[in-house]
Amino acid sequence: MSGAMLAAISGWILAVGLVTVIGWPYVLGRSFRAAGTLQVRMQPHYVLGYGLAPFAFVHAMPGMTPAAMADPLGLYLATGATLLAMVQIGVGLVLRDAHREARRAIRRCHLAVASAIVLAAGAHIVRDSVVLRMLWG
Amino acid sequence: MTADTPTLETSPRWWATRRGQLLLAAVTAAVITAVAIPRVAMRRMMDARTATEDALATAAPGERVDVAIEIASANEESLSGVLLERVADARYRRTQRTVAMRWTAATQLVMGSRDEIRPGAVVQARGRLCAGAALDADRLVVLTGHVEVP
Repeated sequence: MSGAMLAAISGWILAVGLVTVIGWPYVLGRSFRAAGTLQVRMQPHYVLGYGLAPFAFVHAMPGMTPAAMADPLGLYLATGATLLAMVQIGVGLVLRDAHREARRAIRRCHLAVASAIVLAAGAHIVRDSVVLRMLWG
Repeated sequence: MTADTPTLETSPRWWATRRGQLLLAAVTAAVITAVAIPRVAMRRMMDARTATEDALATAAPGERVDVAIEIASANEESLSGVLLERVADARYRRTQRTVAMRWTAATQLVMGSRDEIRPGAVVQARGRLCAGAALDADRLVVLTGHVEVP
C-alpha cells in the first residue's frame, strides 16, 4: 500500500475519531443518566481524546512521502490542528477534575479549542485530500 | 455513600443501552467507510479508460484524452514515454507509440509526488491534445507500484 493511500486511510479514520470524540458528550454525556455514571459514560471520550493526538502523528508519517504534492497551507493547518489537539488534552484534564463553579468556563474553552481543531482539520482535508481529488479532481 | 447511589459496579453501562449500541454501530460503520472510500476511489481512478494506440492516432487536436505512459525522459516542463495500453485490471502492455506531454506547476498531481515523475515511472495523464500530438497534461497520477507492465 502506498504512502498516499496510508495517509488517506489514516486521515479519514482520524476524521471519524474527531467527529466521535466531539459528538460523544452530546449523545451519551450529561443528560443520558441511564447509561451509568458520568465517569463511565465519558470514558470513550477520554480514551479517544488521548488517542487522537498520537494517531495524528501516525497519519503524518506516510503523508511525509508525498508531501511535495500537498498544499503547504493545508499542511500548516494540519500541524496547527495537531498542536491544538494536545492543548485540548490539557484542557480536558483540567475540566475533568474542575470544581463545579469553574466547569462552565473551562467547558466553553474546551468547546472553542474543539471548534478550532475542526476548522483547521476541515481546511486541511479540503486542501490536501487525495481522495477528494480522486473523486472530483 | 448512600444505598441508592450508583457505584461503578452497579451502574448501567453505556454499551448496554440502545443509544450506546447505535452509537457503536455508527462509529464502526464510519470507520469501515473511512477505510473503504480511499480504496474504492483509487480503484475507480485506476479503472479509467486510457486511450489505445489506435484511439490516440485518430484523436483530433483539442480533444481531451487519458493516456498511460512509461516515462522515458522527464524534466520540470515536459515528459515523454511509451504509450501503454491496458490489457487487464492493473496490467498494461507497451505499444510502439511514444507520447510527449507538457506539465507545469499547475498540473494537478492526484497521487504520488513530483520526485516520482522520473524515467521508468508509470503515470496516467489527462489533458488536451495539442498540435504535434503532444498532450497538455492537467492531471497526473503516478501508477508506479500499483500496476504491472511486464
